[in-house]
Amino acid sequence: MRIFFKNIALLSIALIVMSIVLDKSYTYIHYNGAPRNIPDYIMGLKKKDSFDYVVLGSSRVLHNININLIEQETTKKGFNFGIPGSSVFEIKLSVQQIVKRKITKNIYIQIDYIWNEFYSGGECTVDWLTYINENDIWNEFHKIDKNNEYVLYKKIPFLRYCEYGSKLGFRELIMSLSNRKMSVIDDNKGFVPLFGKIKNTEKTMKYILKDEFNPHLKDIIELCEKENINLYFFTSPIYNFKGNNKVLKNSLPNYKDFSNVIPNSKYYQDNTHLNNKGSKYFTKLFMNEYLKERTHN
Amino acid sequence: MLFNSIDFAIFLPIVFILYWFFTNKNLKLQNLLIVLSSYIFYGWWDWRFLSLILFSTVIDYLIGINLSKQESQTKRKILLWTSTLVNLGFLGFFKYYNFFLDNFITAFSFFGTNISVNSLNIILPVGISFYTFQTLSYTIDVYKRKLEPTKEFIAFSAFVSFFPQLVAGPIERATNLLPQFYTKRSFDNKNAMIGIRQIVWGLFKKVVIADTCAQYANEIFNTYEIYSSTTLIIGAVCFTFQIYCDFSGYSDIAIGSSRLFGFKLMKNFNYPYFSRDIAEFWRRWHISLSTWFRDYLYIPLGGSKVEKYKVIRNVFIIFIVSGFWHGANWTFIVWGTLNGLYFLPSMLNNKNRRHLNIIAENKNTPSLKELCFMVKTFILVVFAWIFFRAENMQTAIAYIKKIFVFSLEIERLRIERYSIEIFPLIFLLIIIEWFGRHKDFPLFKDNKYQLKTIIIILLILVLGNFSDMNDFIYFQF
Repeated sequence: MRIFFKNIALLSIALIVMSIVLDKSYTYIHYNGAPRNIPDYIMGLKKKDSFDYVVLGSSRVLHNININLIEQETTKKGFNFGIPGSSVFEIKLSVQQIVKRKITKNIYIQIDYIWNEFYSGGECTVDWLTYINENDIWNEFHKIDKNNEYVLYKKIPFLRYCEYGSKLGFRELIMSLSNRKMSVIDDNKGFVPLFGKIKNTEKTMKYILKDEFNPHLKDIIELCEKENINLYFFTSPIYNFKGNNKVLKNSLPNYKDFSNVIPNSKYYQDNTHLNNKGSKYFTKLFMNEYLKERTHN
Repeated sequence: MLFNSIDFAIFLPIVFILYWFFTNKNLKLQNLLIVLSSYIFYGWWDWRFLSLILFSTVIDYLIGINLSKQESQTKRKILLWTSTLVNLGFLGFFKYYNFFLDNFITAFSFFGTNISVNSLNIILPVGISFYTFQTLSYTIDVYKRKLEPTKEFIAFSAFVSFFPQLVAGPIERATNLLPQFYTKRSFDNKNAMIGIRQIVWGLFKKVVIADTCAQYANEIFNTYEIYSSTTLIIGAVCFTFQIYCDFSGYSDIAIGSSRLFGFKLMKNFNYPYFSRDIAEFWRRWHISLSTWFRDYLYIPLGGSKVEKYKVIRNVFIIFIVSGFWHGANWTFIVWGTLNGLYFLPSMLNNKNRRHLNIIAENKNTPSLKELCFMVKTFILVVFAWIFFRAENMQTAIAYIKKIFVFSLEIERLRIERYSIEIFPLIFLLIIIEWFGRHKDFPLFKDNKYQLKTIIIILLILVLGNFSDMNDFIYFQF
């Protein structure tokens, strides 16, 4: 039995050493290789990569705001940092890193029912796990880590790369090493158009917002005030929207509600996402509201 | 509980420590621990179906004891049929009820009679086909007086529910496994280390090869309409390696885990894709099921020692039943029949036992003739797997039709990150298995630093699919 345990110890030590080495190597490549997701891209930004404005949010930003179109009309340089499935928590992580890197003075955040997500991360939290060992990022994960789940990803080397292999693992690394960055980064400045039309035009969309202030948004507002960043909130168009955004209007600074500005179904891919045609329409509204009338710092 | 889960990685060492350090002085206690662990292992999936295992165990235990006491042949037959009907009754209800009902309704509607019967929403208990066949083997062997019935209920329960092989085999014979529960097991370091290496090798096959191949096979089979001939062939080849690595990977983990507890299970796979003909393939593929059908169905039907037409009948019976055992779908029946058709010529020409040795024995490379035989067998097997993988017969036929619209174009799959590694991975597997084909499994031997094992662990860490992992395919059977 002693020899057996000796062998098991040998294999365990090998496993631990391999995990540490792999963890360090993977993290290094994520920091230095071609970005494969938005967090990779943000973490690689330097002050020289500055933007006149950036837009953050979920897929309702990603598919709705066409940055190239704005650039053609206004010559203002921007970036769409929309991540599908993003909750306010990931938006906060993005804002913190963007502010830290001093790459813009104007931040626009899309907000809707994600207001209600107080203590959990969205499905794209995984994309940020690569950077969990950064102190400021860990501090945020620690706040939502009610089930002691994230602490395991921090403490056990390579666990996050193993468990989320499809998003952070070897196959993504090969793409990164072969310089295959996300194509939308260069071509569309983050924007991804959707094609097709809404199928069920009778379907309505309704949500009820909590009366309590979202703590992540509170942190974002405080941070931007402290760093002198112009912060704007808005709600993207929603087809057949039957709810109301009074809570957002009463709580958030510089808030603009676009939820009912596009009633025609031909501009939608589904109730909450615009199609390519709709994104052009909305981008113009967005541009006229924010980027043509104001002079940015 | 899945073998490739964190739950099992915690469960196995706990049981191991309790087994060797706390219950090792008392055989009955050790067997009881196995029973309890096995019930926890199975109940992790769905505790409600534990009652089925318990019921089968009690029935077969009591029938076994009664068979030993009974001298009247008629009463012995009644006891055998009771066990068979109870076990196959459960299997038939949970696995085949809806299939027969649907086909019954279709058949009647063909003759113009419409029957309205609702099918049931039945959950198939994991591993029911495996443990049913295992308990049946016990009753049949006791009936044939090949085995003394056990009086030790705990030992018998452990035999029926032994967790390493409970849900996907190998389907153990009572004559091999049951006596191992009667004798005190002593810890053997060498055997335990072989077990660890076999678990590592099984995991490699499952999480690196099978789960990667699954990404390709699933994408291509699910959207075969948009792909051309060459891509569809690649899809079928990917499934061929997926099913092999998935199932044999499970068997390796099962056999390896059993070794840790001092048990020896039967070999279930013996490098089947290095076979030179279909008969050899079937001697190397899912050996525990093939030999089960041979011993309990084929031979009782007369085997090959009867008139030619009866031999043909017997061959088709075992292949069709074997196909049907896999699932209640016509695709499995066609898969079985096709293999029967492949097998029959060699059987009728008495050439089915031509290749009993290892291919290219004592050589590094096969001869051209051996290579041709191997490739021909592989192509036949790949073709049959299309039926096995397809959702239904229409899909299988449409898939095959598209393959024959020849095109050399290979489309980029819609799963971007899985585009580079599949061919090197399959090549790696073939090379490792080829040079390890004379061993139980390629990692059977290693140096004192366990270097090969460490390399395989590294490959599992780097290439393993933990986020896109799939359940073991054979769980559904």
